[in-house]
Amino acid sequence: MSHSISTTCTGCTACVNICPVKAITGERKSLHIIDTDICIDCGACGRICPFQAVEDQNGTTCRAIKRAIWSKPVITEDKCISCGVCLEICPTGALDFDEPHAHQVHAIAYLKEPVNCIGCSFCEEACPVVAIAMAEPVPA
Amino acid sequence: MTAKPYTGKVLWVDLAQGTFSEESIPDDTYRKFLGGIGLGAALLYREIPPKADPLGPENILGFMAGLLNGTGSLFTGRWMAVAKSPLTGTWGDSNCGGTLAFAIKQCGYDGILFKGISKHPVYLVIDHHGPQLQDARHLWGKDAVETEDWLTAEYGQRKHPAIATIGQAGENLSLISGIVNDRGRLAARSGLGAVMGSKKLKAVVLIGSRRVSSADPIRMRALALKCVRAIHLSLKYIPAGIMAVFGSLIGKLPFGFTQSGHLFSGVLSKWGTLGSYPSLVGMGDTPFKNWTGTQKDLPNVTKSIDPDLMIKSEKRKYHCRGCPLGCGGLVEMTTTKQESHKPEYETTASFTSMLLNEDMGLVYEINDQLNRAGMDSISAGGTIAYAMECYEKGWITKKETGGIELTWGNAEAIQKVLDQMIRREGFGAHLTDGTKKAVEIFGTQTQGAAIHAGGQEISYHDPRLDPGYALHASVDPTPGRHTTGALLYMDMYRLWTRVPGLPSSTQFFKKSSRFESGGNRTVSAVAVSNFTQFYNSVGACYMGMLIGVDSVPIFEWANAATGWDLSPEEYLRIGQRIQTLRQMFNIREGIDPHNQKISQRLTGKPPLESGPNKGVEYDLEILMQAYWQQIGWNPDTGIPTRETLTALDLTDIIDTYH
Repeated sequence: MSHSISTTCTGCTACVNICPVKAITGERKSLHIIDTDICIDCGACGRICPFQAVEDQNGTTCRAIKRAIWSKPVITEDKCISCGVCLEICPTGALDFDEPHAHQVHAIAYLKEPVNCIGCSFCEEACPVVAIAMAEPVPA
Repeated sequence: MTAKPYTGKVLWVDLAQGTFSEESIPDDTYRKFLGGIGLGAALLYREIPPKADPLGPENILGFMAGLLNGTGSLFTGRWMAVAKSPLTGTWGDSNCGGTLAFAIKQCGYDGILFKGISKHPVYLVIDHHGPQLQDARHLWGKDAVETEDWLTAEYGQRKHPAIATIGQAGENLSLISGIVNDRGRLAARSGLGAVMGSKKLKAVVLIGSRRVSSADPIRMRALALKCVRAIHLSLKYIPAGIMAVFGSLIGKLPFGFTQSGHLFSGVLSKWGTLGSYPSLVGMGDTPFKNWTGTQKDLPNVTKSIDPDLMIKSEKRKYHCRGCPLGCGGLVEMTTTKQESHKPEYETTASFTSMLLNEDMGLVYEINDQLNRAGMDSISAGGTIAYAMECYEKGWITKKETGGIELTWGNAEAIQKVLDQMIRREGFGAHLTDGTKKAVEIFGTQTQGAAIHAGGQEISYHDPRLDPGYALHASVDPTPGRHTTGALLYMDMYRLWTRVPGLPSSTQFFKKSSRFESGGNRTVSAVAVSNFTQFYNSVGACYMGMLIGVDSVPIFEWANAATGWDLSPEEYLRIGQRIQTLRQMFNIREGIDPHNQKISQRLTGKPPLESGPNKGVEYDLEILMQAYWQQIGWNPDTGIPTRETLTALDLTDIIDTYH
């Protein structure tokens, strides 16, 4: 099962714009559809939908969350082994390797493009050594 | 339902028709063949007709993901190219790290297989909306880095695509060409770049985002954390010079000792594979002057080829996906100011000691050139060494070389010949298909200088120090490889810590004992072969395996990812099945396993007159026969017996016994 869209959809296209794999189609102001073969269950559509029209893979209605407080990965440098699995799994290319710091020779992963991060937590889930934890951004 | 680490399907691409089809792979097939090289062998044995032209439409080129790619296990970032080899005419495979392995699965497949030949150059793109073939005429003629950069700009607006491509060597159907990914990493061996070129397939671009599951992700992580703690050995304050002293000491002693996988991991992490060069030269493992010389021919080599100097030029380390060591590194070329991968041990040995060249700057240039052109540095250097020996002996003269003075160590000549080999022009055109083909041009008198097994040039580890290299290079269905086994590997894999009944290595041994056949040595050799097939099927890196299976829990990861409860013996049994199927592929092709024997020079005929391997001579045939018997193949012919095929449950695939 993948995410799906219920009839409460107003066709606002917010989900179409956020979906990292272009799995959602539909005309503006008409019911949208998620292609279950393409959907990767990142949940971004559910978090962005202001009308609570998205159900997750378990059939639970997703709650809209203000994008500014979507969780983002926090990488513990001392634990990171530079294996790059998080870069590979990130569906939006938001992570990259930093330039090695003066005392290091191996580059550490970091959130290069926070604006592209959709808070899917794939990186946290994939990190083999528990170096990534998702956390709400702290206001500046 | 238990989550699975495999996708359960492969993609078939018919390049002649421009069509795609998906094939579902049953769970039982994964249990029998795992993935990677194993799944590739099962599919290609079924689909490639006997005696197919390796560069014709009937050959199939597969890009295979390993069972453990992307599951959270470490050291499992390798993908495998599989096809019938145009270089050896045998089963062909070659694997590579970087980012491609994980990307194959992220596109929803465990393998992407190409058949037929396209009418014009094309590249394959798989994105979220499925596979498409695109016109590549504008990319034909570009090198691998230029091609990858163009495709990244075209498709990498957000997520960075994983790309495999061929350079000019593959386009020109050089039989020693490979497939390039990550801007210069090569699946170099078996000549599979030429297969890709023959199909007019310029590149594969993968932009998937699917997650890869495992049955027990918590156990996967627990194993990874324990592994990372176990392998950490920092050599930060150890200079490379000490490694040279260490190697020279071992070279002079009458006895050897089991080497430490943990020390090796420290070497890899600090210097990369080139870090082993000073010690291997001292031990007598690195060949000189086309395998006829010793360190005395290049006395300052360990000073001029200094890994410490190399890492000073390193911009940053490079890790394959899922690897905690990071033996790769990126450097900036002094001439072009472009980023390039640092040279590996094999490339360095190939273009320094083998050719008696001490100019490391030349190695950097050639390494970059070969990576861009997509040519195997082992075979390229080995073939130039053959030509230099022929030139020295007068079998090749300036008339043939077009005026090039092909003397040992002549950097300008090396560069000129290599340029010609890549472009298939002039004198170099005679060398661009390797030494075996060159003998057909320059005559049988040059046979002794052509050092290969079954047509593939030998990697630079001397079998007169470790005859396991000769044995595996001769009995493995892909001949001429160093990654398929050696006595050293049994010591370092430490399989006896997981497989009851396997003999353990002794801490110290008489060097002469390594040349004895039968007994524990043969049992170990077959275990190494079977283990190699296992880890090539799960997508693991042999460098990581050399740290030892008691520190790198590859069997445990396989069970945690799949939810199976197989013992290490059962996994080795699967390895034996894959090894036997690959051998049957060759038998069906009409290949006599005796003809894959490594060149006589490497068995000490004639013996070296000086150096650590002075006077060594041994009977390879006896070692091969003992191996064949132990693995269940006919000891006289090397053909798997009917009983073995039945016991390995291969009779459903191999319906005709040859």
